[in-house]
Amino acid sequence: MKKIRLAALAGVGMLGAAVFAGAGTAGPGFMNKYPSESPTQDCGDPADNNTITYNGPLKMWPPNHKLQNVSMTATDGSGDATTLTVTVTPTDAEGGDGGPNHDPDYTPGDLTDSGTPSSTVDFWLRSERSGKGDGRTYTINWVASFDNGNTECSSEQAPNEPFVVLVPHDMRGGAGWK
Amino acid sequence: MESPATGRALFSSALAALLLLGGGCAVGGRDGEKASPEPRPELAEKAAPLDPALVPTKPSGTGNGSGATATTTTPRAATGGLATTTSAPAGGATTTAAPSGSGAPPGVRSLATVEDGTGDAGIGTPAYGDFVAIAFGETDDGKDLQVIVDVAAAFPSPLGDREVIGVGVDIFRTSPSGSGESDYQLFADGGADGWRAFLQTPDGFVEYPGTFSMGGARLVFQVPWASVGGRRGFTTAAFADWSDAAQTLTRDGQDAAPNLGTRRVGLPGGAS
Repeated sequence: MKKIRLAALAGVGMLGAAVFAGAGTAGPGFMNKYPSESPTQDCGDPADNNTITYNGPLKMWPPNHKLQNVSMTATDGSGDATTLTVTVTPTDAEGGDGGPNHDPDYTPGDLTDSGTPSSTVDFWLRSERSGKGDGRTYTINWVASFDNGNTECSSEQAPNEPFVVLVPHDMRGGAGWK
Repeated sequence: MESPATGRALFSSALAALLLLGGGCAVGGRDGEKASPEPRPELAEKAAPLDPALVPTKPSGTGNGSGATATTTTPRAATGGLATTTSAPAGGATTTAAPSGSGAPPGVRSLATVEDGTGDAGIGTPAYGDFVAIAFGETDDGKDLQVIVDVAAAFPSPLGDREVIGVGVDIFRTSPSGSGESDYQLFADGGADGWRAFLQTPDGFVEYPGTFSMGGARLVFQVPWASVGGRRGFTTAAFADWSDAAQTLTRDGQDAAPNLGTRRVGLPGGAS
């Protein structure tokens, strides 16, 4: 989790290749170092092209209490059957939930899809955070299988890890686009 | 992107259905193809100085809302100090369907005003984070919706280094009761580097299609009706989020207008 969060923060704060040379320490499994695009992790040998991709922003701004549709996709490089299960866990300081007009905050539970050669899980994250803390994080854990179920990876098994989406308190440090 | 086509909980189905319905609405923006799930900078509109015609004729925060309850708020100058609230009950909110021309800027017909009592944005929240009223009008040519947001003290310029204000006006189309997600949202994002306005539609953020101006204690959005689902009545609710992380102890506050639920904004002639 730490790796991708660092990548996200660095990417938001300092656009450019130089930054991502540093963010390259994000570790193995990451093919895409640009956090506002679709970060991808490999399952097993990268040569197998079994990948898990998060499709959506790693940083959500402004915190306007709106739900945003994002997704994750597991793709089998050999064209075999896949499965993907996603679980979202938010972490935030107290407050800032926008009241009942802005509930729920994310898609709860284990979300699963299966397909050949790819599986896609759509879900929702709300762009909001408490004003009291440093921002809200949505930790997106996942479990995926490839090769017709013969290969399995999860965000709990290094070098893989959860995707982390941040709704920052503010844009200090620069988001580039401001 | 493939559809998950999985057996999701009712929650997911309901959300998806809601979005599909929303997607059926007219989508705003000058340039629909520029819709984006992320608020790219080129989609936002920087704040312009308030048109003199839109400058309030009486100072904000002095109880210009007939619906305000008996709260006493003492804003600290225009540079944005803390409000001193001396009454406990949160201010109530009322909606008034103002007659044409009453209090509306020249060239604008007043449609409705959601008034909000001051002193209800939380202890320590500056008065500029505290709603006084949200006024809805349309231009005399019937083309534009105008939304005027008045707060209880002038916004400081600039805001503090880690101070953030978000002012959102939700517009519900597919849910007349205002439940669930709004279909459109006008949003003003204020920070140390200035203010920007966004329009979010069922397709995501679109290039802001109108004007956004501010001055004193007032923000004004003006957008074509077509960009917010057409010229017809709608249900609305507004929120203001203020926070300042510059201190060791981050302070924050929220206000809503109305305080609970939503309000209906109708158009003369029954265009609803």
